Amino acid sequence: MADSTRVHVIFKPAALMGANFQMVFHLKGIVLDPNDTNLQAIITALNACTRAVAIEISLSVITENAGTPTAAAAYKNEDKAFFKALDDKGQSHNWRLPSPVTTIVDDDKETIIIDTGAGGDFVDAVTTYALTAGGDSIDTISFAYRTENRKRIKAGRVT
Amino acid sequence: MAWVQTPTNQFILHFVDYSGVRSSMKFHLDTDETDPDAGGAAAIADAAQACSAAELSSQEIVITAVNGSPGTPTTGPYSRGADKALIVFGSADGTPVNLEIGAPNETIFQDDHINVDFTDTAVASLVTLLLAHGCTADGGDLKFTQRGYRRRPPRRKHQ
Repeated sequence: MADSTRVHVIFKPAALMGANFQMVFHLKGIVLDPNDTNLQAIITALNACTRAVAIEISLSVITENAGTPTAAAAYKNEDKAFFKALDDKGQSHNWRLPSPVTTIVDDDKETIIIDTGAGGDFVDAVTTYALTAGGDSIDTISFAYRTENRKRIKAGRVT
Repeated sequence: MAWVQTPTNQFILHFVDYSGVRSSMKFHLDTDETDPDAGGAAAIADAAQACSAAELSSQEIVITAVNGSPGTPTTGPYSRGADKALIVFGSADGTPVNLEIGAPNETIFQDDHINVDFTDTAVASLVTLLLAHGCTADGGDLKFTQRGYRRRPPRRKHQ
């Protein structure tokens, strides 16, 4: 894990004075408490320097991984495995996983295999740990399929 | 100020494919999940990586809180977020680090209304706190302030 915490502070200016804006800075070490004393002191100092008021903060900690993307993969990042889920209130949610490996794509090249293998493991992990933004559990991922989001090739441009 | 944490933490997976195209997936996790490389976060990250030919280059936990009593913004000179006071810090390795203060109070500028007055109480407090607790994106120490000045917002095109 990185040895610093990125802090986004969203400020709201007075009415009719434009949109909300952010100030961004980094704190030493991992700060996970929004009410951390040093963080709050900095926000108070920022508030004293600006006409706007701080309304929201985001604390971000990142882990970087060393690895290499699979070369000449069948599906690139524009291709997604589209997972459709339902939470415990019956509301729908979805996730788009980029560059799906061919082993989770069915023989029809469209359906994502979510019962077994890596696709099944992903479904298990999401339904076990993921929540909705409001904290409700994810009950089920009913189906998944492959989608593309590429620009159409213009006629006459391919030789 | 009382800051209220949102019901869930965001968990973001950052992918890059072999063409260098980036994409991301966002989940919500329990507020106990604060380490992007452990617990449910690690389980989802591992499962997602097994399904994707792209490289999971980093994973990020974002903790968000909102201000329960934000106060009232004031109006006057430079009250839009597009107006900025730019304070440039110097880091241990010489890398400049910028902090942009939107909608700055005019009291933090010198009489020329351009240069930041580093003897102003609010500015001095902010600089002292950031030198003590702030850092560069790489975690390096901030050592000094290089300069501070007001940036004008970009002009609109003539209609």
